[in-house]
Amino acid sequence: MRLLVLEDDPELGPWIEKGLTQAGHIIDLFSDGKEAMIGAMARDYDVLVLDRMVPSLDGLAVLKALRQAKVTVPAIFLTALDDIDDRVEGLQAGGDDYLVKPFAFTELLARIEVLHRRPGIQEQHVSVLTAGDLTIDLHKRTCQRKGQNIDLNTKEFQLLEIFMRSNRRVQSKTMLLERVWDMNFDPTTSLVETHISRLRGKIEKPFGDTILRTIRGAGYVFEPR
Amino acid sequence: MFLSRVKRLASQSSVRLALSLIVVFLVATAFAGALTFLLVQREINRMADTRLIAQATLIETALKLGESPSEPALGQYYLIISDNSTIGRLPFDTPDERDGRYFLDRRGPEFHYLSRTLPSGTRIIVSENADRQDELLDTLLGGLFISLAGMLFIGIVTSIWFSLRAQKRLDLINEGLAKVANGHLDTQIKLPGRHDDLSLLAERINATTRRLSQSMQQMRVQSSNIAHDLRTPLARLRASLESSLDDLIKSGQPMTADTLGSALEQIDQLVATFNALLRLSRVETGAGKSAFKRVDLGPLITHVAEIYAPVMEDQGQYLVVHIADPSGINGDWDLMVQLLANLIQNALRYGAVGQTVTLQVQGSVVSVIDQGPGIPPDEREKVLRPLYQLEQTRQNYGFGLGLSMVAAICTLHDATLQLSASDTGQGLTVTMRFPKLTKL
Repeated sequence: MRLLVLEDDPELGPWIEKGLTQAGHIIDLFSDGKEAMIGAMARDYDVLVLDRMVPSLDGLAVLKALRQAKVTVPAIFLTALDDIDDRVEGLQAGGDDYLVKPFAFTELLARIEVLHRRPGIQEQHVSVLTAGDLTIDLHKRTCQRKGQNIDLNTKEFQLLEIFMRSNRRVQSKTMLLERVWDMNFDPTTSLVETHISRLRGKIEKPFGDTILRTIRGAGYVFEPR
Repeated sequence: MFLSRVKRLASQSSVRLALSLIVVFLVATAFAGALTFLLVQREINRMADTRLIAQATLIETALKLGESPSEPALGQYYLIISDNSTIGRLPFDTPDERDGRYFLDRRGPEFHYLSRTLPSGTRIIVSENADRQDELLDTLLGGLFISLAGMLFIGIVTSIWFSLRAQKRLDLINEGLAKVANGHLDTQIKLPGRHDDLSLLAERINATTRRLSQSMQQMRVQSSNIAHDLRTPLARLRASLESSLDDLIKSGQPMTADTLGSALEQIDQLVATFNALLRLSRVETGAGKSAFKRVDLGPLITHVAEIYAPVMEDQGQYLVVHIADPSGINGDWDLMVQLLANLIQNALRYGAVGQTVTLQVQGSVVSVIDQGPGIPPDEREKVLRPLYQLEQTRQNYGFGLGLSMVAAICTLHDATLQLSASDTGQGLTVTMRFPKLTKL
């Protein structure tokens, strides 16, 4: 993917650039709003990553101008502002997603990939996902490992589906809470841990191996064999 | 100097009020005086008439009886003119022959007179000196004027005196408020003298500044609590990073994924506390109320119970749901989920293994009942404050924001919140009464 990143922080900008480059993307980093706007009009990008508060032109204004100029590239806002109004404002300006600082890099990456996938319809035709010796059928809601049927409840199934699609990337607790439980606040209880442990009990324990690894401070990574 | 003082006086509302009252009073008194004067004058005339008529009738009777009329009293005169004789005298020229009652207004002494012609042709004229009555009326008029002038004088003097006094009290209030505006919230306005509307106003102002001062104090306490709750994990984080650095420098021992992961976890914890605080302040300021929609309590409780039942089961606790006649309320689904989530987390955190937590809906009343240690009655209000935790639970994990968030969400939804002991006298029952959604 070719990505435009608008971020004026001298440490955060290069950090995002480095991380995204390592993930195999091509990055153009801008630290000035106007320049980023001109850049976005000059080239075709796959996703725009825009900081809200940058010199010369606010990220919000940049995107508004781009949308008026019929640039329809998906865009994600990065911001230290965290207000429902700001969120709404960002989405109204034509933003597709919103990420509040500080954030985990894996979360940014996952959101960018979700945005890039969004227009593609081919995914919805896929009804069977396979990763290693694990297979799930999205229509029939069934799961099989090494030919054995595994009975999962709704939440466990949803979790597993996210992991199967995760492409060996770390999934943070925040992301899982939001996508599986639709919660955008920290429930301070072991909600995610409980379900992960139940899922492990069903997909790992009977087979005596580990395919769902906990990475302390980051989240979980799914490594099928 | 004098002019400016007068101007300042005239600009005072109390002086203006007093002066306009004086004017109104003056007009009313003048009207009443004029009326009194006219009535007294009429009465005096009527009495003079009566005397004249009585005198004329006496003379007429005497003439009929052929007697000679008696001598007139002092100040009274009569003249009887018959064909052949004239009896008595008048102190003025004999008037012409018309009958009636007259008032002779001329220079010198004034007189009333009455002229009557008998059927026999004899004419009787009786008269009375009117000077005394005139003097009486003059005295009355003078008295009226003097009292009017006196009233005006006393009115103006007292109104100025009262307004100066009121102004002094107002100045005290003004000075006090100026001090408050300059940030001296401990200022208390003291008004000497009696209890009136101004002293009531001063009391209200004092109460307001006291409240403000209290909430400032609370805010200060809260900020220091926040600082504490953010500093402690920061200190831990710093310590662990510092010792890792130390290990690296001194013994070349590299940082482990575990150390870094734990550092990240602590940062996430800090961010979570921070976000919870921001969220709380957002809810407390009433943000999001415009996005209220119908929330059905039945599905809401079921949804929350589905999320938490497995978590509770894993910790050896049970979640029971009672739903009876659930109604809809006007609210925010996400916040309502958080409200219930916070209460369940509280029950889960402080409750013992084996306890049953009950989620109950009865109409628009939602209760969360646990079998934990409960909260002592005198602590029940305090636990709703941000970052307040019971002393014995302070060491435990928790942000101390859960119940304040519950209180803030209840307030946002116009719901009443009640903390009590369960029927058995143990545990904590949190009852929230939401306004029922009126059906359209």
